[in-house]
Amino acid sequence: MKEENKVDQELIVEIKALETKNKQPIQNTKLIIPLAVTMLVMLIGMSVYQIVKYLLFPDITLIQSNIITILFSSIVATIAAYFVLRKQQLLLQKTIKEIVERRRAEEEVKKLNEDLEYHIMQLEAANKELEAFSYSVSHDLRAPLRHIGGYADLLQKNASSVLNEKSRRFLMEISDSAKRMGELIDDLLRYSRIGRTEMQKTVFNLEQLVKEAQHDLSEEADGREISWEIGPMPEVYGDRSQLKLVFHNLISNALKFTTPCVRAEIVIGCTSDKENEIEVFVRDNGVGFDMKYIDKLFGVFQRLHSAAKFEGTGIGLANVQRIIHRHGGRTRAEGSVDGGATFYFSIPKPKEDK
Amino acid sequence: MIAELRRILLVEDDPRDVELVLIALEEYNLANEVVVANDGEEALDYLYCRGNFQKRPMGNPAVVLLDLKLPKVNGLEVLQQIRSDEKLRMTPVVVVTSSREERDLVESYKLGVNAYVVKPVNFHEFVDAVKELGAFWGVINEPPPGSIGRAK
Repeated sequence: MKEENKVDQELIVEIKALETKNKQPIQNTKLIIPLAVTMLVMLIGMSVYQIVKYLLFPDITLIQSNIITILFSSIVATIAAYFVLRKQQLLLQKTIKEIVERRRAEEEVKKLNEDLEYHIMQLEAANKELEAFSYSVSHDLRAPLRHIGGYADLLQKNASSVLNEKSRRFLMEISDSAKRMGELIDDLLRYSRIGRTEMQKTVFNLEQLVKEAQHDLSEEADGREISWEIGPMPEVYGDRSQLKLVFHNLISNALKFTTPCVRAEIVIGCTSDKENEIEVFVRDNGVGFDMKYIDKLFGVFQRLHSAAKFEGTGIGLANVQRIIHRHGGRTRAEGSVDGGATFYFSIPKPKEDK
Repeated sequence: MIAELRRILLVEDDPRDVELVLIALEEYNLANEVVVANDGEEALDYLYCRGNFQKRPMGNPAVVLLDLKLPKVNGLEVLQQIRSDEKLRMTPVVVVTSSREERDLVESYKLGVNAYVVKPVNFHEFVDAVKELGAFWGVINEPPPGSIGRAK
């Protein structure tokens, strides 16, 4: 009960505050109609009463008349007061209900905001931890690797004359492994950086970007017979340097996996041009892959070919997928063993007002 | 051609890195004027001629090769101190570190570093980088007045 009283008190204070804010009592503005109706009823009542009085009691005394008038007026006034008070009560209840509802809604919004802030804080903390982790990897893991490689090389140089063939090969393996681990660490750091750096989105021409990526890889295509087919492509809205990395990785893969082909065929184009997004593909006639491993294709450090056959750490497609997901798009692939491979990705189109 | 070799301050906490850097420099006869500080505090002691370096010859090194991740006082703090001191601010500082983390790059350049070199994992590349650094800053580059030259 006490609690309720407290709430009531608070509500009354709030209503008072509302009243001062509106600079007039809530009742007055909304009670004009019931008041007017009451006045009208009273006027009509009095007229009817006068007529009835003279019809029924034509020779009534002044005292009798006054008594009847007072009685009648009292009844009408009571009825009118009842209606006015009732209306006022209803209005008050409605106001209270509104205030309670508004307050509940406000509390809900506040709670949602608090939840959101909490989650953002957690995300920020996780991001910070991740950054600290990658910073530490970047600094601390590379140093011992450099030492392993360095001392192995020095040993090779200083003692190679006293070592037999096998031992020299062992030293070489140590150097190579250190080098390879360095590459893996660098790839992993780059992958983690893609997820952390803020995107710089602009509207740009995709065809131009493809040509640039193709040009950057021209060294890898040197001396090979390659037929390029680059279809027309529209403008997109995204992070240019990240999407360039997407094409760089896909074209580099296409070049790599077509090395056994006498004549490599690489086709880059646009499959669908929908209202909100476009789908782009990069197709090659290379060694392809078995569709049953499709789930592994875009994973970090997942490889479907041996290192001896094709170089690489297996980070390329993982980066592609990460970048496309950050742009709100999807990736997929089709292929068959020795039947080439096609990689598709979708990206949102620029909005009209941009 | 016998060029004058000037003093280099190498700030590096890892003894293996120190050894590998010195070996790389020795290969090109650049190692004889290298002073090693094992942490940021020692580096500042050297620069301010205090602690173990009270009796060192006057003058600033021709270049400070500065690692970033150091015990006690880290590389960025050393750099900040050098740049905020009237007598030291002109001394060339080259960050030589394991990481190419963007925030290190940004911070270093903001503080006015003269160059930023990532130590290559590959030893041959590492030797080349160190050799070029030693040759450029220790021989080719003309340091600001007041740097220590080679004792003739």
